[in-house]
Amino acid sequence: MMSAKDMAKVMIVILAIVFLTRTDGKAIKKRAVSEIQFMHNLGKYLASLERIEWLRKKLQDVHRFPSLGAPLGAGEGGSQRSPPKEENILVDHHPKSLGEGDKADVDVLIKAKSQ
Amino acid sequence: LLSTITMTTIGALPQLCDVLRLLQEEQDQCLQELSKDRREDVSPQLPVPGCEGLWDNMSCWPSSAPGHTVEVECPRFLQMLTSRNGSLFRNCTPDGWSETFPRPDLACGVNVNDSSNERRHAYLLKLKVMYTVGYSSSLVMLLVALSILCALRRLHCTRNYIHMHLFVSFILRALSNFIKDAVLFSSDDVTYCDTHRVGCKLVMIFFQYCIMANYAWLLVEGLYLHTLLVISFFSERKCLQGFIALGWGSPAVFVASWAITRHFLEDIGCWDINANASIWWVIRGPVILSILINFILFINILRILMRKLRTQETGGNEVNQYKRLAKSTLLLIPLFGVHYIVFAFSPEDAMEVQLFFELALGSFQGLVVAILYCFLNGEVQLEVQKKWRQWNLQGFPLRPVALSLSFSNGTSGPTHGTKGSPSEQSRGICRASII
Repeated sequence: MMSAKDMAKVMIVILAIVFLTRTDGKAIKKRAVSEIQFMHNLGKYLASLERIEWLRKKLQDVHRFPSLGAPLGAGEGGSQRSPPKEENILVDHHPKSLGEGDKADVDVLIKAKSQ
Repeated sequence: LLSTITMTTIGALPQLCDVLRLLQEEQDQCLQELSKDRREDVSPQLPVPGCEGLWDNMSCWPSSAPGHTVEVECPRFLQMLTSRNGSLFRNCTPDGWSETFPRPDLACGVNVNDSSNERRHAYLLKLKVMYTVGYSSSLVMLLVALSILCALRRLHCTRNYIHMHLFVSFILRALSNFIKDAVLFSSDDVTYCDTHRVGCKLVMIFFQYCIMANYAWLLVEGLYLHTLLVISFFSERKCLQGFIALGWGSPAVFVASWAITRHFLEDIGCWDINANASIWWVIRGPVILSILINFILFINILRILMRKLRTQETGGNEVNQYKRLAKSTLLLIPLFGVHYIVFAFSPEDAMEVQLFFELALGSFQGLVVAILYCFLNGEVQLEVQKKWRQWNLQGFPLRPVALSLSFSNGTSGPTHGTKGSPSEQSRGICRASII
């Protein structure tokens, strides 16, 4: 039979181990359950992959934008002489670019997810 | 809103959905402002040459006169990703807007060519293959072992009931891993941004429950053996009820409270990534505690056995029994999950080793337990042999004895004799060895 004294000894040793390994504060970040840690790591990696993929596409789009935007701007500048027409262009132009943007986002999401 | 964004930035990088939502907000805001400006500008009939306000899918450029350089801050969604400030410029030329300069990724500190995680990812995928093999083999063996223990009624006793529950918890753990992988890592659904996917979260809750239940049943094995050795007289039936409550009930309590706190405090994604340490303690604390208690019980059991072996000097039979116990003690490591203590308090640097040890190798724990506590168990082998012999003697290969034992009431034949005292005999079998 184990006496209370022995039990206390064991407890003290274990607590010492716990606190010695805990002092650097790094252990706090761990998940203690390997399955969860794995899920966390892989999930984070996939999320970052998805984000980078999307960002790359996004930056490419923006970089290409002026080449699309400049002629449009020039065209609008030319048509600015007739204000009612310009109103139409404004209404037409922006919802269209909005829709395209959304579609691009969805495309990237699909692509990133299937990887 | 800003505070929540900064909080998520500190904890972990934000989900793409949050980025998209922020971008959408900025776009709406920009378009609103631009159209407002436009409406105000419409009144003067004279055309003003210059650059109109522009939303270039990233930043909002106010209208400007030619020859000016417009400066805007880095878009908020980029700041969210990099937490760095910077500015973007465009010149307004007579022909319209120039290109953005400097390049947005350079100006706002975005690194799109970051492939440092590539190696780690490959490692994780290899790990996944390994633990899939481990869990599938464990699953098959555990199912066979469980059906053997269920079918052989003479083996039914408290110890084996606890083993059976443990087997079930191992089976659930393996199954929930497969379900989790199927839901999280192989889906090509586009509904990723729908944060209220209840099904995914339910799978996650089930997954957490199965893992915790497994730890709880490992603890129950430890507690049972310890009680058996330390306390001479105790009610096995009451004990078993208590153990069942501990093994299946306590994980439910912890997982439920985890789900509730998670729902109210960290409702991000599918609850698969946990960045908030304090919420995670709801699961982590009990798991570490159970590992610790089991380790202490294990050491204590070892001490008791050693002491008994040392003091017992008479009677070859009893010595033999204790030798058997000592030998069995080595087999306790997989049964108690003592190996978890190795990495329970290790620093984060040892994560890769830990994952390999506990996932790739640990997934075979169910297999080892099934082999040691069912297939290699002398009583089980004896019972199976007996049944096999009875089966052959009876000459009805299509009618298993187990069925006739349980369903036919007092029939003649070779089953009659054995049927007389199944409970007594089974008790006798179970008492023969403690482990």
